[in-house]
Amino acid sequence: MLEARLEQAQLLKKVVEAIKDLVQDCNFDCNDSGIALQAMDNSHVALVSMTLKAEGFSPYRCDRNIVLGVNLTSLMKVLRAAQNEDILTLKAEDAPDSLNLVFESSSNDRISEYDLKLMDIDQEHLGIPETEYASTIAMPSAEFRRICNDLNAVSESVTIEASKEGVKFSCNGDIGNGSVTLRQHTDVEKPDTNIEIELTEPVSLTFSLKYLTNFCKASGLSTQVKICLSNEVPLLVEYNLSGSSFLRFYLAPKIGDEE
Amino acid sequence: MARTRASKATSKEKSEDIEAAATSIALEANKLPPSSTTPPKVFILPETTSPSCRIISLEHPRYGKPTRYLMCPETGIYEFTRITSPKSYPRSWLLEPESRNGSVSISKNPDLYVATRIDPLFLLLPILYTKYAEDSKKRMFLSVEHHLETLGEGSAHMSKVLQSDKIRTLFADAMRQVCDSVEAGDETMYRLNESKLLSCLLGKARRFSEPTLPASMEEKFVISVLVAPMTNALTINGSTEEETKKDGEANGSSGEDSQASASTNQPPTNIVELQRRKVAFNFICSSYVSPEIAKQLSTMLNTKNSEVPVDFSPLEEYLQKLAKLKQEALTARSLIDYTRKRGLEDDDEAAERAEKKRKKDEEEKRKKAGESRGVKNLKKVNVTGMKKLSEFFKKK
Repeated sequence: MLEARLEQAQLLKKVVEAIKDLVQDCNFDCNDSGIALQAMDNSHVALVSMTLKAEGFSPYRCDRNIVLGVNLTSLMKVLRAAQNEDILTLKAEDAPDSLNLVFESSSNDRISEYDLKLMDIDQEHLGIPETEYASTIAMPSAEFRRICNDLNAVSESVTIEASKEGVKFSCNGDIGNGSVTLRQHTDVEKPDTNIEIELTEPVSLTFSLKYLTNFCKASGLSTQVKICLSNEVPLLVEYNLSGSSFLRFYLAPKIGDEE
Repeated sequence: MARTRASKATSKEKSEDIEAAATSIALEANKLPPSSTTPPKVFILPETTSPSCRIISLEHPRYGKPTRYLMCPETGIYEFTRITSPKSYPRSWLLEPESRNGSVSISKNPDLYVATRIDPLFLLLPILYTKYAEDSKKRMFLSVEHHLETLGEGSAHMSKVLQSDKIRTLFADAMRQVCDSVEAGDETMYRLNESKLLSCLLGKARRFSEPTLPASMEEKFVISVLVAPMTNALTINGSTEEETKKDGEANGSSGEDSQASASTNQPPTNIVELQRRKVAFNFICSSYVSPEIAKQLSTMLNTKNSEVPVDFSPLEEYLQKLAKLKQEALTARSLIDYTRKRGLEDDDEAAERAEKKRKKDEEEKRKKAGESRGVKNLKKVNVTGMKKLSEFFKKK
């Protein structure tokens, strides 16, 4: 059986909040190393991959591999009932019909308990190899969100160019065009605002802004976001969660016929 | 036939020394109080029976259960057939006393028991077959006395029956009919021969089925089975007429064939006779012969063998042809149904379709409910020029 206690309910809340607009139903694969999730959007051009390591829970217990097929909208409805600071406990039997969620308020003695019905979901699992990206950009997640939102107002897609000078997000839409350029920036006092650009070769790729703004919903999970690019390869947007847990988004680049 | 009454024996002892049919039983019936727990029963007994005849319990040759038979030491063994009235049409008996001082009584039970002669062969069969089946390699030839002794071992009643010389002769005659015999000294020894048994039973079936079976059986098992589907006959007539003509010009015999198939509505007489005989044979087997013997006999009947006196193969062929025709007729009819779907079954169909649509809608609705706004919006995103991720990442 699975029993996982999370000190702060907001972690799961934000994760689900971030991916529920990308994926409708998905399987949470639970094993002794933690809870993992991999799912694609309906068009199969974007993929979300999440791992909550067992260390992130206290305690964590899962003797056998358990698959929790969840409708994320439904899960979100239940999670909304939890305060951000509540202690969240997930429980499930082996081969479960439902997922049990308990929210304990640390300040007062309030305990709420929910059972969420599970479903059988047929999902293909993709093997994602460790890739050496040509360019890796680390920046404040809020900055990335702002850029995406701003450019989304002008165009459908953004071209991300990484070069020695810096990284340039540019777009070309019906009403005009626009671009944002960021340079490497280090602030020792406020490391959260650092911008780091690692580059082995210059890269230029175009992506759908609708998807990128969607990914940005995870901004609340981490102050920094890592953007990895290589030509002709899906973009990786990674948010680090506590410890070695992560939330990653992949997006296929737009190739050829530009509109 | 004399109509007599007999009270049914309730206990075993009573049945053992039960009084013979006519007068004595009538007297017993007289003694019964008005509402008796053992009401009189009505029997029709053969006139030829001697006064010393008895109702006895013997093992039923098919079911192996004790069943009552009428045994007359002079004329043979009779079985009882219960004739009853349907529940929807209640009847009762008004019984007049045989002697003057008796009282009239009414029997609520409408049953009538008719005693008819049973071939002792059937009673003998289980013994003969068991002796034979126990060790089929050995194929023991045994004397009549030996066989009858075995027959008597099983039941006290039977051993009493066998005290009568006439009955013994009857059994011996029956044995001779179906057994191979060898002379051993001054004794004749017998062993069951299945072929002989089969032809003996087929002979019985023939007598049973001539000229026709009883009306209800004839209707249910012969006419309705052999009749060809009506619609099909019509379609054959309609569609193959031209072909038939052409064929007829080219080849005389094929014309004859299609003629035959066109007139399948009336089965040929030899087929009807064969079907009757088959039904009769199956009836005999299923009423008097134990399942294992019946099974063996039917396999013998199905295997083409010169020893089998009746060849049922024309019937088999005809039935196969008929099954095919029926199948065709069924498909033809379903086609017809299809074309008039909207005409005749409009209401049903419409309701069904509405139901289906409603279910589909419901499912879609449920799906939509589980879909977030973000997912809905993403559906509208232009994904031209974007490859699927499965082209970059391999499936696990």
